Amino acid sequence: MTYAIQRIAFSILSLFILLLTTFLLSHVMAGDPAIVAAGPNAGAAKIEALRQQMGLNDPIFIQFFIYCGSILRGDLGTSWFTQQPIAQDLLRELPPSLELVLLAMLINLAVSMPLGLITARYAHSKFDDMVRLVVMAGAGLPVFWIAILLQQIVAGNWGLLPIAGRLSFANRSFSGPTGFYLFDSLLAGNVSVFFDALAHLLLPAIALSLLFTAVGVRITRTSMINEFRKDYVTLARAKGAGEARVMFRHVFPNGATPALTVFGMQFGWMLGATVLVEEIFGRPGIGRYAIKAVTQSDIHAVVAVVLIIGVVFLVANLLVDILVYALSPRKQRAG
Amino acid sequence: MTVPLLELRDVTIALRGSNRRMVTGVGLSVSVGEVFGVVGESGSGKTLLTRTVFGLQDDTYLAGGTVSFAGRTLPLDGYMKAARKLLGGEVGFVPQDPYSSLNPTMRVGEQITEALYLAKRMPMNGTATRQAAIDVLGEVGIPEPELAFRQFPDQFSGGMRQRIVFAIALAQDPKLLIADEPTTALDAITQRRVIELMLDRCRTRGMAVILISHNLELLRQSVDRLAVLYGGQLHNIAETAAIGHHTIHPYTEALFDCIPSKGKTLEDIRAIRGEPAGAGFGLKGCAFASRCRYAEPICVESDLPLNSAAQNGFTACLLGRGAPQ
Repeated sequence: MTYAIQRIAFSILSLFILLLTTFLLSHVMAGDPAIVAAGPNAGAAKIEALRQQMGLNDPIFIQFFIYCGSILRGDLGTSWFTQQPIAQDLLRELPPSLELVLLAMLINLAVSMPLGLITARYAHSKFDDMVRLVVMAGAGLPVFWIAILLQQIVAGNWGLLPIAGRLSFANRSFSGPTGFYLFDSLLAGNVSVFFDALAHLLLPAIALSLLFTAVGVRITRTSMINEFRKDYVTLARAKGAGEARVMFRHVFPNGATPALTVFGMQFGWMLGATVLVEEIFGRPGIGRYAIKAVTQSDIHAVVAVVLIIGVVFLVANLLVDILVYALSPRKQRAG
Repeated sequence: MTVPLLELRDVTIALRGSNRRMVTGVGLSVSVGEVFGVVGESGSGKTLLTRTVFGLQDDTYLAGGTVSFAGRTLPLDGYMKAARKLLGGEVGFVPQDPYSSLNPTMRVGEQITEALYLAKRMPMNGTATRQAAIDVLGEVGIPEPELAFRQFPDQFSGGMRQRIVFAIALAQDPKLLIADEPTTALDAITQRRVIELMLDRCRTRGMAVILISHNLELLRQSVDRLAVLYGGQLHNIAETAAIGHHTIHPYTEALFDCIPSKGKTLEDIRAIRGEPAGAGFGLKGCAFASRCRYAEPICVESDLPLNSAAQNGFTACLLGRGAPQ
């Protein structure tokens, strides 16, 4: 329990640093917001009045304090472009992205963990070399290229999966309370929408997961190889345990922990990597929102995206660290 | 003559891939209930020999010779698989380092019940299995075995952990226990206690033991017979009781000369000059010749004699020193 509290306190400190960074990004780097807000034809008096009104003449730490306060209240400012509260925009854009990232992460884990374990057991075999080759190719190819290729071949030539979007035209009116279509469709008991949404998710998720899977396989392999060398593996074999038992009952639980930490970080990185995939597959989401915001110089929206990705990163790592701790013998003894 | 429990004849072990011969022409036999020692410096091939013979070494293979267990000769084809079948039932194993030989994320109790399940098909969660595990923990001298059953390995000291590892092997009731440097990681007093306890429990149950160590003094006090390995060659098999009373093999003698003891002056303690030969010396010439004070030209020119009959006493010395009396 004390560990969880320490770890949460550490996350709050990280959050504070994240807030400070985004604050500096928007308030210092962006130039004088009053000039921008006043428009190109405003006189000096108008700008000065605006500056007073926007609180830009206050000491910087007071501005920061106000900034933190409004963010904690859920106010991320108003988009200069959509004229909507940014928080509302993000609430709409985040679920499709998270849905995509969660599925991509699931694919990543489902491929990396077993493949890492098996290549570690048969390290330096032909199978291991082959996996390494494929994985290196996967890591070396650009995500956008893979995405276009998948779209072209699997969706275009073979017609197996939809090319773009979140749902088919027939289901266009579907909406649900959470914005996670996979979840909402099941909630509504609408299985056809569920499979439609899943089909639309599959290619983008595969494209997104590829690079991360390449890293995931390597990390898992390294971590498992380390475990295979230890004496407890010899002892397990000496007890007469078969290779399957040695791998799954002994090596895997010990080797998975270090790998899990990396997977936790990958979650945040993935959210940042949705930018290209969402654009190519024409899916709404935080990545596409970020591109729009950047091209329109919508500074507050950009900062809000940075902030939200940072927060997701922190939360994912916090959860993984607590999970890793909960799985460790140290914790099981205390609790 | 009764059938020995374990018999090796001309056993040669080579590295996978390069086929380099690491251990050549080893012949020895261990009888039922015997406490047998294997001694050698680091790199002499003693660990490689036992680990390969019982299928626990991935990067080496049995390149020649025969291994028989309880009268049954193991096939050379698919040797590793056949040897592994002996583990967890017929043969038990205590690895070197007690700090890493227990699974850190598995409770001590489960590690023992798993052993009972694997050797005797006892159900892992059965009450009888649990009681058997607690009993064996008590037998190896773990205080509060019920509590220990629920604990994790990192809650125990090195000596206690080695007792737990030993308990795992003991639970399976093997005919032969192989202890590979079981106490090297422990301090001298704990070492003695753990070894004495281990040998006492094994003798009570009539288990044969192969005790591998570089600590000759420890072996002399605890084993019946001793095999001496050097550079991957078998140099000597001697009864421990005879050592010090007859001429002994020059390498064995040199090893004993290094041990300080009561009544020895500093001049009596002689270090062996030169660097130890690694495993993989082959059979051409005596690996020890370059460091031996009795060495003659024949020692580097002739092939080393083999103990092909796996006799109880044996010397590989080309000058005939240390031949069994």
